[in-house]
Amino acid sequence: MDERQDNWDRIINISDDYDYNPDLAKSAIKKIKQKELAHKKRPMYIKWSSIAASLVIIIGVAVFMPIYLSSIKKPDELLYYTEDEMDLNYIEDINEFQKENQIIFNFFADDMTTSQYASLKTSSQIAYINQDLLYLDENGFDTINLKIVVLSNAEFDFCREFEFLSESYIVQNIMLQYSIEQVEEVGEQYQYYVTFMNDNIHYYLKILSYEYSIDKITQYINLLNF
Amino acid sequence: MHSSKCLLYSKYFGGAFMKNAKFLRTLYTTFAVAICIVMLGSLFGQNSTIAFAETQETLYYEDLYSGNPTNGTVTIADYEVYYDSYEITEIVAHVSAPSFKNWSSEYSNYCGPLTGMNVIGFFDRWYTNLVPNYTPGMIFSNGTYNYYPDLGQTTTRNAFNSLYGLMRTGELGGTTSTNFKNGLNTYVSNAGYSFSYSSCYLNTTSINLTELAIAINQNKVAILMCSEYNYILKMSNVASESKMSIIKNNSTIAHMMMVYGYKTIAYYKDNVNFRTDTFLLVTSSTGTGDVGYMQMNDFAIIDEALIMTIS
Repeated sequence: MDERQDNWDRIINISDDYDYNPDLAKSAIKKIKQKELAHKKRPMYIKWSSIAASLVIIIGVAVFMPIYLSSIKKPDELLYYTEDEMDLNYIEDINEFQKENQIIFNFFADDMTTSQYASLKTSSQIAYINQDLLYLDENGFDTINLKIVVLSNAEFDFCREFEFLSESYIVQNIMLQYSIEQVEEVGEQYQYYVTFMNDNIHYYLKILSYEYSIDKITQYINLLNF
Repeated sequence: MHSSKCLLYSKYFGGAFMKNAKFLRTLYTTFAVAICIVMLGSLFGQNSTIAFAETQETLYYEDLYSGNPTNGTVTIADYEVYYDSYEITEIVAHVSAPSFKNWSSEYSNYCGPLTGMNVIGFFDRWYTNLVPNYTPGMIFSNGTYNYYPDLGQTTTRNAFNSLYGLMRTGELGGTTSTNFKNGLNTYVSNAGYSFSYSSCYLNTTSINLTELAIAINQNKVAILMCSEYNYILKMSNVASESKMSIIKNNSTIAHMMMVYGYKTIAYYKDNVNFRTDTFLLVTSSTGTGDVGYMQMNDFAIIDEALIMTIS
């Protein structure tokens, strides 16, 4: 600090009538340039680490920016969730469940029905309601599974089972898409796939029955009391 | 003179500036190296399975916690096979199998206890103390025995809760092979029966189907422990388009499932068998308690395949 102050004082105190020496300027410029050159000879590692850091930053942005942008949900974009992303919980009273969560949907109210709800692990948002119903008669039983999707713009693993259902049918003024397939390994059972929408809610119904009859579909849709 | 003063001014200020520039370069270099290390670390990412040290075991899960990419990934792997004709050349399977669900979010990573629950639910047909006060199924008028779907009865949920504890699943965040066997053995012994198992392992993508067929005919089931696996949600013959449509997921999440049979499908074009696939009939051992298939000689790393015996 003292040295700098001394230098500053010297500069300030140079007399204006000091004899100009034309070579002095050149000499000073030459010395300045020599010093600059000395400073320019930096160690190579500084240069290469700077280049490497720049490349990593560029690559990182190029890789992570698309990932970040794709994670931002656009309006009306259909999001796909795997079962692994769900929490499942038992529903004691489905009427109370609807009131507490302010969701309205049609459901099986039969005594032989049990209900669960699936919520997203990340946000606890209710995604769908799962109901299982057993319908017994003297010949055997039907196993009925109903999934009621209440989360908008959402698709799940099980939805893929209901793609490309080739038949259609109307029950209670609701247009259903369905297919009935024989379960080959047991020979005498049939798997029904039925899907439909009502009041902007998607319903996915599976029926495993020892009987082949479209009346089975009517029978269980009527239980939903649309 | 003015020029001289200017030169000296610039030398003074230039000197000060040169020292600051050196500091700035050092600072920039340090920052650049730090960025390098951080970016390279995040680019390499994390391992997709829990890899234990040699003395420790693989943990089998069901769930992938969001934000926990270390458990693995699930990829859609649907495909179609177009044919002139096809036939099921072999099928050895129980008509149905129990497939229990998870009923509470207080449980997690539960494929181990769910698989154990499916095993005891299967054998409860003959060994009724396994699940007290529970009837697992009924005989249809066509003579076939069919297991009821899981309706969340208290007795089955209590049995699942016991297995969850005995297998130490909650403790470890998954189920090891040792804990599965020990936990199931303890549960079965407490019910007054004996438990044993034997291997039907063949390689990482297949099991010994001869051994499995013998087991099925002896009213037994098998279980799989996989570091990676495929699961077929639906297999549909679309006759109008002469194609078999397979809805399938490939998963790198370590998982257990119960096996209750297998079937083999041969496809023909111009009367030539161009493709043959074998599928194990499995319980999903996931929260929704489904049944499906796992394709042999396909996406899988089978660690163990075990025939279960309860007597």
